[in-house]
Amino acid sequence: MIGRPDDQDKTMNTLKEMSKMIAPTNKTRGFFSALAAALVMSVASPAAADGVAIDARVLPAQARASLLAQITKYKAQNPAIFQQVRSVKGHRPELYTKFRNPVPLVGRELRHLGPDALLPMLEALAFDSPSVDGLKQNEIDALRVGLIEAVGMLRDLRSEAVLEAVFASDHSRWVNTAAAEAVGRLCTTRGLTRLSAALDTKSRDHAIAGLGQCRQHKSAKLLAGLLDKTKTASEADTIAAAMGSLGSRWAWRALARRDGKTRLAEGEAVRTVIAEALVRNYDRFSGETRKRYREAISMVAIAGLRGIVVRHASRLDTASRAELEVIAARLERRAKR
Amino acid sequence: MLGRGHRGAGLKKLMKKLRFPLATVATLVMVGACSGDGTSDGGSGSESSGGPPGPPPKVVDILADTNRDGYVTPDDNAGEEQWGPAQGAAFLANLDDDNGDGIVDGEDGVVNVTPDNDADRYDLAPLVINAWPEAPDGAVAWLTITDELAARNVRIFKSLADGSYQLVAGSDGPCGFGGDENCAQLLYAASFTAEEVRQGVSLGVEAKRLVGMTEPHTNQPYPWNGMLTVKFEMFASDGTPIVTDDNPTDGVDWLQMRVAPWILFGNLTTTTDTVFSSNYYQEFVSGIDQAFAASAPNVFYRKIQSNEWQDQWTEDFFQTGYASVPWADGLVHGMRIAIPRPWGRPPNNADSYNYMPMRFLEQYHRHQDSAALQVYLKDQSGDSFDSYGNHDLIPAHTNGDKNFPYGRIIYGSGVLPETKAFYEAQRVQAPAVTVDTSWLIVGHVDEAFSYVPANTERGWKLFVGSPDLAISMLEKWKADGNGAQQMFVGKNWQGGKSAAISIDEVLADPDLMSWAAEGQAKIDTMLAIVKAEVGLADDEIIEIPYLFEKEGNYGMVAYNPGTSNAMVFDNLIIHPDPFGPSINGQDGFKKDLIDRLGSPANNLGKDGQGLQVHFTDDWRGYHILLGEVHCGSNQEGPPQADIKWWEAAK
Repeated sequence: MIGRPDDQDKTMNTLKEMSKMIAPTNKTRGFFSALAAALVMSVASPAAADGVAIDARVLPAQARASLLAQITKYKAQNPAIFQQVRSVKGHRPELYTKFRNPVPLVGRELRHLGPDALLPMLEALAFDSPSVDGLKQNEIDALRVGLIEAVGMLRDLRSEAVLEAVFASDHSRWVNTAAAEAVGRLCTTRGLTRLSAALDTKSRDHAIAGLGQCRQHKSAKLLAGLLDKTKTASEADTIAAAMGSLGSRWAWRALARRDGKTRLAEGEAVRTVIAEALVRNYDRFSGETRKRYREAISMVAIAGLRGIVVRHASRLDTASRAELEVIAARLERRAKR
Repeated sequence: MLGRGHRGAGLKKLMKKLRFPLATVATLVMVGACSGDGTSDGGSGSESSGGPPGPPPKVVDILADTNRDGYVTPDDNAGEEQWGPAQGAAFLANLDDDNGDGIVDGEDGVVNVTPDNDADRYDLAPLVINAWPEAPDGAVAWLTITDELAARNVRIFKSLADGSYQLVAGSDGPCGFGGDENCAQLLYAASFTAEEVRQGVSLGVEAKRLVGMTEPHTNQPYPWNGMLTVKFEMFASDGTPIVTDDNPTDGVDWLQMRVAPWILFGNLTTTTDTVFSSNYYQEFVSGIDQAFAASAPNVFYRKIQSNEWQDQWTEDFFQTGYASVPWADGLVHGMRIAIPRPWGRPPNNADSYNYMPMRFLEQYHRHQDSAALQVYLKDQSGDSFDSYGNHDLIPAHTNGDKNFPYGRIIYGSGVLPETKAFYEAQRVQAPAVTVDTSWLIVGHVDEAFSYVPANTERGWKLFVGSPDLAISMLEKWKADGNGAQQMFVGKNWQGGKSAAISIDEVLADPDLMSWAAEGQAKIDTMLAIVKAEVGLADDEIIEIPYLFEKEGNYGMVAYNPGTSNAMVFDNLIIHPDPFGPSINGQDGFKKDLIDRLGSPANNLGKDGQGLQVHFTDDWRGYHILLGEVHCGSNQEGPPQADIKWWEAAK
């Protein structure tokens, strides 16, 4: 759904043909001329319909109108930042072929533009795609992923409708995962509900990743429940990765710095739920999955890990206890820095 | 074998003078044999025990430098039939281009010797048919390569009186390698006349290729194990075997040799004489120039111009190493051998051929004693894991009963099967240690690990990237009232946005902090493997502080310049400038590195007094493009004399 000049020409020609097929009274001619003009505007106007990830028309009308108004106003005041967003290069071969790993990446470039870039990025996602002429599918997807990630990391409620719409749309696995994580970062009640609901759909893995970014007790409980019930090692890997992010000690400390100390207590509760779940399920799978569990436990870095291990000792074999003791010792050593 | 009583003192002295080149060897062998005047060296020879002289000994003997002293003497008979750690001659795969004709010497079918340049002569291992002055008229000597695979992979030349060489055994052409049966010559055996045997014959051996090369038509490594077994025998004119006193059954003299393996260069290799980087980014080059002027004035800094090669990731697009054989006086002889990455960076729609790193090596690295070897099967195969920043060398170590005196290859995720097979086939730095690097955008082991000399029993310590340490330092600086101090001052991200950011902002970013935790957990997993494999103690691990950031499903990359990704050789280290926050008027990260690495604090450097710590600005040219100093540089040198791979029980 990307507006290009040839699309506009085709639309106009079609409408002109339609107007010829109807008796050409002055009134009808005027009606069709107006209709044609309106439809062409909806295709051609940069802030009207076609973003790189969704068609803005899928947004709720009120949200769409509100965003459009904000974008229009902000653009008039800050045209340069819109231009900066539209001229990122990380997904273009002229830049990414110089990367050490020459793959299209645009997230860092967008993220470093900061919160000023929110509305321009939403415009690009939903209303007016930057030019993607000549780009390959993976390059376009890189642009989508980069925009979605950078928007999500700003955790600005104005992005809620767009991110949820992207999450609901049918894109590549990478785009949908990025969208789920962005919804998770925003972590609204509605977003959490959507992610929970998606657990019963083909988007289950994406939803799990999204829950891993939603720093609430509820998402921790959800993930812990999933870990208790999952039957496959591959899904256990996905859940463990999400739990590591959700329970990250340093992330909660950052949130406390940003949002206030009450979040430390919340974080402590979340981290405990996660650590308990990872330890009590540690023996259910082997090999790579245990490695993922250990990594998640390390990220959660809970001070009382030894106690949790003791509580669940009856579920753990000797080797497992030893592996967890190694982590506990490492965490204690680091805590003494 | 030499007939008993053949080892007169005079001969021994003469033999000790035997050195390469080969033409001299045969002459001296012959002279030595003729000089047997019964003078005793106190040995066990029957004719030296007095009484009337017996018949002259029969000599059916072929010799190589079995005792690895750089000389071919009768002493080399001991154990020559079985190659092993204690004895056995080695020979080179002749992969260089000594005469600069653009043809690999092992593929050109000749020994390139001219009055102006006889370097190729030295790449042949000497093989000597010992002179038997009394060889009977009509006798014929036969040298046979007993294994067909060996015959297809080696060539044995005879030195002629005019100084040229003649191919007498082995093969020319692919001879089955890669499914190409073109075999201009395939000679399993060579014969020598009685007259030749009377005078002795100088031969030279070269291999056409290294072991472990995968063949495209089978996707399996070529099965040759690198051994060459030679059978030498003589027959009288009536066809009966000539037996010797010490080998009365059949008179056959057996000899086994092994082709030299490719040895990977590492941070602790002592012979670095050349450092490479591209010349694109002046601030980067200038930092290296300054470091070399201060700490490594004799190293040649090869700046690759943009019209020579357009890939600034010099560590990645070729891998340096060498092959060597014993030489006189405890030295070694060999050649540098660089291996190109299996993919290049062609511009849109350009034919990839001209952009394959092999083209660079063919032009600039293939010359006298310097070679380029393509290990991969297909152009533009593999991915970032096949860049050589993902393949490194853990320096020498022993862990329990596992001994890696020449280091051990380590690589991360991915890696083409033919590359793995090649590494394993060399044996001396194998089996490789493997770690998971798939969590990184670039996916290279050098994004987390580096190795530096230390004055410890092991001789080195491991540098490992540490987000945990970075956060601890930032938190301490914040607690000390420096939270508003900015890092990355004066630097821009891609697109021109200022990169300056305060400590407070970094520590309050939940994504950055979560990624730091994830990066630390991933590094802990990598480190646990290396610790277990090497037996590293905690005080042999030096944490280097930097954070990671993540790009969705692509993975992570260093957020601030990854300072463990440094250029290291001898006692010198060049880090990327960390552009850290100003703490008490000094770059906090820089000061930390200087204090911990450049002082006796951690017993680093060969003398334990610390490394010579330098920095260069890699922000614009490398850091924001996903790499650092190590990624942008490479180093090599001649074979290292104390790397005696032939002594490895592998």
